[in-house]
Amino acid sequence: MEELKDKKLQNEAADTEAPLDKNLRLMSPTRMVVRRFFRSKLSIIGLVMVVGLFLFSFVGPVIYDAWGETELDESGKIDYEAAERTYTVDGVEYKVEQVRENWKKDNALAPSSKDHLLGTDKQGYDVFVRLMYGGRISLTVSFIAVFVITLLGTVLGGVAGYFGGVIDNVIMRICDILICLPGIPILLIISTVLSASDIDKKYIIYLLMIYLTLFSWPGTARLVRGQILSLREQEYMVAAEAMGYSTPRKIFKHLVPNVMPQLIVQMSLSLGSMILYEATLSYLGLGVQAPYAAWGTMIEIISKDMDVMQNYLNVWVPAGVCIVIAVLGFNFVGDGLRDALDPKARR
Amino acid sequence: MAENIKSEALENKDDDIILEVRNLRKSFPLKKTITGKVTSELVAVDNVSFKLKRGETLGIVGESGCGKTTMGRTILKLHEPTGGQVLFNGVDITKLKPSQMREIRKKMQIIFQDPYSSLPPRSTVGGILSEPVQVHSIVPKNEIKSYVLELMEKCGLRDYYYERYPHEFSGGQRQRICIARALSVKPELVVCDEPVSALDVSIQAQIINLLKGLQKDMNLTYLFISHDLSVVKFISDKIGVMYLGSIVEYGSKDDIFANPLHPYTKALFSAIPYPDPDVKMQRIVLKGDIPSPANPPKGCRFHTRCPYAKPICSEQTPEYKEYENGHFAACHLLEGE
Amino acid sequence: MSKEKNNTSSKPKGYLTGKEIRAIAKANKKETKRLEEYKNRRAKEAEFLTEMKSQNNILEIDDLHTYFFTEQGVVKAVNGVSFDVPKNATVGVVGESGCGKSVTSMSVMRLIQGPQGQIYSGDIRFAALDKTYDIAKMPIHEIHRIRGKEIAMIFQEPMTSLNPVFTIGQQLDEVSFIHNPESTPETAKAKSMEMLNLVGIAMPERVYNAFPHELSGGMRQRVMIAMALVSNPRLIIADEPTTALDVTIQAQILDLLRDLKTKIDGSILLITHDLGIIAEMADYVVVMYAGRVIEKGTVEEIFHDPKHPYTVGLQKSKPTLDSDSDTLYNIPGNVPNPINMPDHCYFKERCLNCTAKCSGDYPGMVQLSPTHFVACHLYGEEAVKNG
Repeated sequence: MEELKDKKLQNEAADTEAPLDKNLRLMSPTRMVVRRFFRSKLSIIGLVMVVGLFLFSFVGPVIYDAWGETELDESGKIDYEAAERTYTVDGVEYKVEQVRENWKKDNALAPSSKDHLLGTDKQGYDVFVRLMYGGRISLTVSFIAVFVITLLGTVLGGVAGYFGGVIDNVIMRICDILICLPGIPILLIISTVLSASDIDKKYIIYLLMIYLTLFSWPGTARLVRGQILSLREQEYMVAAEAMGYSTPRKIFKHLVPNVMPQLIVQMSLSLGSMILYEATLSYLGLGVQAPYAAWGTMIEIISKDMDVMQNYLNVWVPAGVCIVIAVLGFNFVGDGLRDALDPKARR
Repeated sequence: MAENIKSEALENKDDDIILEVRNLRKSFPLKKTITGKVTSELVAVDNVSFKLKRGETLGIVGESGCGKTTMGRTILKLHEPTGGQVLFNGVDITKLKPSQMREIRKKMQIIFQDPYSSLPPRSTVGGILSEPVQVHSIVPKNEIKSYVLELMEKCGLRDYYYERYPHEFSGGQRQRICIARALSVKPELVVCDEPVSALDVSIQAQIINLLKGLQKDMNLTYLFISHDLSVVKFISDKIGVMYLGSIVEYGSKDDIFANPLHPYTKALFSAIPYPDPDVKMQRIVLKGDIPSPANPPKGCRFHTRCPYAKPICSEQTPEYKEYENGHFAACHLLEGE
Repeated sequence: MSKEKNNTSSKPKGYLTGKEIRAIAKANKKETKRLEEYKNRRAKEAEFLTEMKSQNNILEIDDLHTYFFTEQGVVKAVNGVSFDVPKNATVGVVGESGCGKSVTSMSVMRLIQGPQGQIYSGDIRFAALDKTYDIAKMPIHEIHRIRGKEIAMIFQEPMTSLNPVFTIGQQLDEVSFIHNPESTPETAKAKSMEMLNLVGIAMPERVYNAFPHELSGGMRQRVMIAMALVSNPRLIIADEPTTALDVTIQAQILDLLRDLKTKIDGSILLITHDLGIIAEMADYVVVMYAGRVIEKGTVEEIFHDPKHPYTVGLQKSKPTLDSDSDTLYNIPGNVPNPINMPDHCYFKERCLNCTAKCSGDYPGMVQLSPTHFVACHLYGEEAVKNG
């Protein structure tokens, strides 16, 4: 009887090998993600924008090396200075127009030409080249910042979410406090202190951005914590617990990979905002400082010189366009990634 | 036949009882004062005791919110018990440290209701099944894959599923993967938490047969939790009926079905629609809804819905005691007899 | 890429290639665009008025095809379904998940979510009070003539089917206002209270003023039923009305539904996977499998004399309280995935009574009695001989 049953059991196992799905072919998981990403036109546009900017900033200076970042165009130019004076002689007004020809060493505020694709700025730097170097700074700085934010946020949020209780409470209250602190005023103070010290001006922006990350990780930490709280309730996590896996294994092999999609989305979205931060800092004169280029610094000129703002659009508009492209691009990519990786979050 | 002989032989030994639950209690705090004192709590499992013999199946039946799932998880210490003892192979696991518990976990496994959320979405089937084998060093490293493939075959899964992801499978196949995962560490006790409730009828039958076959093959002990009486009847040797956190009736399958003592058990039996249009059942339809476990009625918890309630039922909690040999119940109506 | 191709030859399931995916997407876009335009067109009433085949029926579904155009291929969720719902009768549609029973009911209500889901072809004739409509051909903006008014629906999930921010009373009254232009707040409330009484709610006044979260699952399902009844529908579609409920509550709701049928002058289309419920409730049974009707007949015919191997297997595989065997009968294999269905009988691979003929075309409907039909090659010749 035992034998008979065993045989029956074997038959059952064999029967369940459904030959039915031989007709069925599905999409592979990677392809599904790629497909969902490319379904949206916006994410394709975003990807083109982002990749374009990267090539422009990092490959551009290698190919187009006519000018350096801090290289002045000293070819000189003749500058005409017009002045109008009014003399009053015997009650009659005379207007005299005076034109003075100046020879200047720097070829400043040149229009766009073969030599300077987008002209030169007030100091005589090539705008096009500085745009590329500015992109380098902006993108590098934002990437470092986002990386640090994500690292801090994931570790602290993960710990808070997984262990809960007192640890959770402490970390989350720190988050609350950090979110309450006025970021920009403190930033102003720190930057003044940094400017007064003898740190190389080139590195001030990095220090500022790292400081900025200390203020920004609570957002990511909250996201990760929320995700982990909900994932922890999933039955496969209960199953991992029932399997007797160790805590690090549960966190790093089972929880973190499942938070990754949300993290990637969050990262690409915060890249955009970091670029904005960097631009703001530079615009306020706190970030990258002359003679080094950054998009924000390039726009800064319009706050000081009305003449440039009105008459020399080629000096500052391209930098603004670059910022817009970068921020839009990262946001489009981020939205596309969210749709692709995390279809439930849509709408 | 062979099974009976085996279980009789085992009866005389001490390790005959694989799981003993004594006065198990699990409550969740609802309100706390600032100092952390619990002022109101939800008692999900209240004073549950039973013994389970090796190789047997205990079916736990009850409606949603009766605490059967919580009980299953508390026994596995996936929830920390609030009171009572759980003796697994004679060891009180409620007192074990996490590191000791981790060792014992491979001996007690769980299969879940929802085959969709119980498999990690970003691992392949092979990864899911070989991870526990590797962690607990069930077989030498170079034999893991063949061990897993053998296990998959046992559970009715084809070998090429090894590289596939869970989302590509239907509910029944996923449940097979879950079963294979639970069995990969060679457990002795498996808590089956509604393993077939989410499946179609024809697939249910396959899974139940698979579970039954595997039980015989690997000498497993099941704690089978379900709301479906007919399934429980099919697979169990002993049955416990739960209502609002406590077991109201417990006995062997034959006792319970031939002679249900508790009015709730009777109502449960009669509530199941019978698949024959000519059979019109005399049905005991219970009034009202299941009370909230956060605020259970006083006295006998069932008295608000019981068609035979007496005044005493709303005042005193009936005692849970043995009425026939091995047939326990908690009801005032039985005391008078 | 080449590795993938090798995989497909040696293993039955390979992944789709990028080229195939693009081809599917292109074809889908074309079809869905055409069907969407048809759905949203302006049409004269005459275009979607029709005649019933039999005056006894309230609903006739005739060769209905409802497809879902997914990225992985076309899912023929309903693939040529035909059955009738007679007046004052309960028709039970039974089948496993993915068999298309819910999609059929959603098609009748025109609740299929576009653009992926589309009624591809077929007729759904519905005898309203004065006119007969072909629901499948109605433009979507005309559907309010029927939906919720002449045909009401009870859903599976009482927990999510009610809006949590309105009271039960507001939600019930709203139905009156929408479907009966003459209602005043007083008449609407009177009607709502009447319905709450009808569905056996003990304290209708309290429930009327309650919010959904204050009620239990069983109570909510009663409210859902009351809501369906407010507009005096001629047909009620109950889509798994008790699946989410406990057995003791399920017994209450089934009692209620059975009572209601005698109280209201209408038909019930009951959709469920539970044969027990069908046996208790239905007059006629339609068994569906993989998007097709495989057997239909009166409840006695289906339960006492099932013909299709699937119907037989389904009945045997459910453990009952009085069965005493050691292993459960089971239908081997799985429900086929509805993409790229084969040409032959969909049940062939799981069937134990296969003949050579089963590898041929999909079997047609064979009539065994005035009401009993089966789609199986085992009965084809028999019927031919007899007839």
